[in-house]
Amino acid sequence: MIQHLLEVFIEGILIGGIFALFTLGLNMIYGVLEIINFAHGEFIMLGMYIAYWLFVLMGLHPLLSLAIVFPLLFFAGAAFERVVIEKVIKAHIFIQTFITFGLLLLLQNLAYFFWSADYRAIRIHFPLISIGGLHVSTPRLIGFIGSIVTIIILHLFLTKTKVGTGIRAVDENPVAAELMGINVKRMRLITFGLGTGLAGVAGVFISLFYYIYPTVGFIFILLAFIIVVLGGMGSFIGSLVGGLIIGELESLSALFVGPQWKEAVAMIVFILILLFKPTGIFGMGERK
Amino acid sequence: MLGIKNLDVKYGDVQVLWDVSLRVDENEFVAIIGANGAGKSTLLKTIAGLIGPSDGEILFLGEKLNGLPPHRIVRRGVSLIPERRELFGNLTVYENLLMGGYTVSKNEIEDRAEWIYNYFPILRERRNQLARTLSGGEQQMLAIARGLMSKPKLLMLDEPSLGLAPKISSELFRLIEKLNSEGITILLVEQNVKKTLKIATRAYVLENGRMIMEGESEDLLRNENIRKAYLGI
Repeated sequence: MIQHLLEVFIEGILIGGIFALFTLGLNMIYGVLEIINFAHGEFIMLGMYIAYWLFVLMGLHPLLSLAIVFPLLFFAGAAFERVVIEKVIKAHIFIQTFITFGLLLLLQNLAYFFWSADYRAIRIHFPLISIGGLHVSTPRLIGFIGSIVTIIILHLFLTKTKVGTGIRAVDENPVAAELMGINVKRMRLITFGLGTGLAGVAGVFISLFYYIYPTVGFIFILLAFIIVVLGGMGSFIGSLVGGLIIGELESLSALFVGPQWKEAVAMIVFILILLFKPTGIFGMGERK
Repeated sequence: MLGIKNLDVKYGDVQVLWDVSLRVDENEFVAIIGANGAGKSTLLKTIAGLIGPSDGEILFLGEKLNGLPPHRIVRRGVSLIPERRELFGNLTVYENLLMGGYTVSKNEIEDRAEWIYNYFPILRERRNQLARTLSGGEQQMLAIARGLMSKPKLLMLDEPSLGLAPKISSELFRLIEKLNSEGITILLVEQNVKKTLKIATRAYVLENGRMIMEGESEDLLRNENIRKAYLGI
């Protein structure tokens, strides 16, 4: 029993790391553009499908497909930002919401049209890993390590490079950033591209152990919203810690309450946070 | 150096500046004074490109500025230190300087930061601290230092003494004078009319969005209307 509990606990951390990765993408876009990208889950879905088709058609290992998925989804996101989002950047929040929600529907339906509603999976054999007698799911472990490495690279980019620091400056005060000579429009483009690129990378990791189907993004966007609210809007560390907490919560509630209830438990937590701590754990309160 | 001709500025349907003209020569120290809501900040924001004028022309070193986005205007050598400082509070002092020097090339930026640290030794001490943890006076120093990183030819300051203790604001005025004596052209907006007229060589008086007076600071200090309206004498 104890062994099983420990295994479930580790599972929660592993999945939580991946949750943190795609949530960071969503949170960054919100921080810099002040837009909620409802289509974020669909970029995860696209990452999964690209990994799937590269594997099935060309035999490319999903981890190698990262080199294609990230740049492809970066450019797709950046192009969408420039052509569509930039037009509504000062528009009312309803218009912005409809635009990204429209993209969600478009991408889902394109996926149905081209790839049908079939559930697919990447069938690849991973050797079983056992740490101190505990069995750990290898694909999840790979996904976790990959996510943490990606998060570290993202953090280094945001803190050690000029462009990354510029993104943080725009996040905090776009007008002052513009006065410093920062091209805020370009920062929005880069940030949106990074956000969607990260969603794609997370999608590749998830595809190692999860079914792939057109509406798969829905589960993840829901989780990302819960994590953003739990960790705090615009908080990097909040998304990281929030991802781990929600991953753990899902894992433990699947064990104790039943797997069919895990989403419900996450939603209950979501409502409780909104009631009692709407700014989240690391939230900075009302933004200007 | 800077020439503004017949500038009209509107916020939506509300006109804020009417037919404003102004000139700042190289190495000059020019002030704009006026009451709250006279349009002083709007004028600086328009020069910096944050607001587009509805009519008129802004020339800097012979080239038109209006129509350019703010980040391009910075590259031309115009720097605005905004009202209320607008620092990046969650970035360190050093990162704030780095952002101020966004338009400066990589090899130059460290030299520039070194020059700044010699000017403001306190910022060197605090360089790894988050900007929001500085005191009010230090934050104003950082705001000016950040604005100097881009090597501006024209430095515009919007109410830099706002919220500072008298002693610190005197220090600040001395600093601005020093920057001017080292060759940086200054355009200063201030509510502290007396102190401002003592250090600026020339000044404009803005009232309800219109330039109502212009002259040497000394003359304005002696002017009966100015003394009544702004100095309370």
